[in-house]
Amino acid sequence: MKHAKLSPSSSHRWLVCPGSVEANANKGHGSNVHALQGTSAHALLEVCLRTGADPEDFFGKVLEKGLMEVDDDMVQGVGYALDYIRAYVENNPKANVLIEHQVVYGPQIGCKEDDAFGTSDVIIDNHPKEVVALDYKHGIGHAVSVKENSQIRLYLVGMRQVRRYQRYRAVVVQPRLPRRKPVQEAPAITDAQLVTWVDKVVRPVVPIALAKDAPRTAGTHCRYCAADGNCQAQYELVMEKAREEFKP
Amino acid sequence: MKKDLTPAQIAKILDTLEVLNKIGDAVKSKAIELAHNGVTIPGWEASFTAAKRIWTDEDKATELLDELGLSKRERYSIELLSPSQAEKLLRSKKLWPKKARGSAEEDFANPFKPVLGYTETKQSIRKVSDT
Repeated sequence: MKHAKLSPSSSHRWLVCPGSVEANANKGHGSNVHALQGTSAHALLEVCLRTGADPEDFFGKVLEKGLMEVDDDMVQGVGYALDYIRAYVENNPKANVLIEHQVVYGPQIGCKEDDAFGTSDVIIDNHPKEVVALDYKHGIGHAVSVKENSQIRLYLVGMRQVRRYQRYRAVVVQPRLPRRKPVQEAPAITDAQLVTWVDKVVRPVVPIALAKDAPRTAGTHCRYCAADGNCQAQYELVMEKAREEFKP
Repeated sequence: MKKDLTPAQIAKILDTLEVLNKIGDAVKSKAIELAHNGVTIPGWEASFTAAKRIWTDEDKATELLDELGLSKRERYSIELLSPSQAEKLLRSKKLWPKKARGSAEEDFANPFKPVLGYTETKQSIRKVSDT
C-alpha cells in the first residue's frame, strides 16, 4: 500500500522532526504480533460496520487469511467503538458513516495531493453540523491522547477539503488500557480553530519536511522511526542532556 | 549548603532519563547489529548473552538421572498453572465466562475470585498521564 510522505499516522513525528520524512521514505513498517493483533481488530471493526453484525458473531474466526483469530479482547474492544458509532447514528439518523475512508489534505496544508493523504478508520459525516473522526487503537504499549491529536485532526482537515462543517470532533477508542475510559473524546473545535491549527502548526513545517536534508529533532517521538538509534539528532540530544543534567 | 534534590529537579532528571533510556535502547540494538557485522565500536565488542543448559534428548536425560539415583518423582516437577496462565488457557478453550460489554469491571463475576490472591507489590512511580 502506498504511504504518503506526510501521513496522518506519522504526523506526531514529522511535525516535530521534519527530517524524519526523508529518513522514513520507502521504509516499510516492521510486522510483529502486536501489529497483527491491531490489524485483525481493525478488520473486525470494519466487517461489523459494513454488515451490521456484532463482534461476538465472529469470535474464534479468522476474518482474512494471515490475520489472527478474533479473541475476547478484540470482541470487547471493537464493541466499545461500535457502541459509540451506533449510538451516534441512532441520535443522528442522517449521519453517514464512512469506513476506512481515504482523505486527501495536501492542498489544505500547502503541498501536493500525493504527499498528504491518509485513511481514517471511521468518519461520521453529519454535515453541516459536524464531522467526527474516530481512530481505533488496539495497542496497550503507548497511551494515545485525543487532545490535539494531529493524526485525527489531519483526517478532519481532509474532510474540510471537500466541504465545511460547523464543528470538528476527534475520538480515540483505546479500550485495552487500564485506568482509562475506553472512549476518549476531544472538545469539538470550530472551522476557524481547525484552520488556525493548520496555519500555525502544520503549514510552516510542510516545505521544510519535504525538502532534502531537512533538520532532525530527537525526542520521545523517535519510537517507530526508521532512524531510531542511528541518528545525529539523538547523539546531540544525549550529549546535551548529559552535559546539562550530570555536570559535576 | 543544601544537598538534597528538589522535587522539581527529580522530575527533570526522571523526564530526561525517560528520553535518554529510549534512545539508549535503540542505540544498543543498532550497536549489536553493527558489532556482529564486523564494525568496530571503540571500547565495545560483540558478545553473546549467557546460555542456559538444556537437555538435548529428554528421554535419554531421564534415563541418565535414573541411573544416577534420582527417582521419577524427584526427576519431574508438576506445578499448578498461575492465574494468568490458567485464564489464558480457559479463554483459548472458550471456557472463560463472557463479560457483558459496558458493565463495570466489578460487576463481572471473576470465577477465580474465591481463590485469588496477589503477590506483594513494590512501591513505584509512573508518569502522570496527560490523557
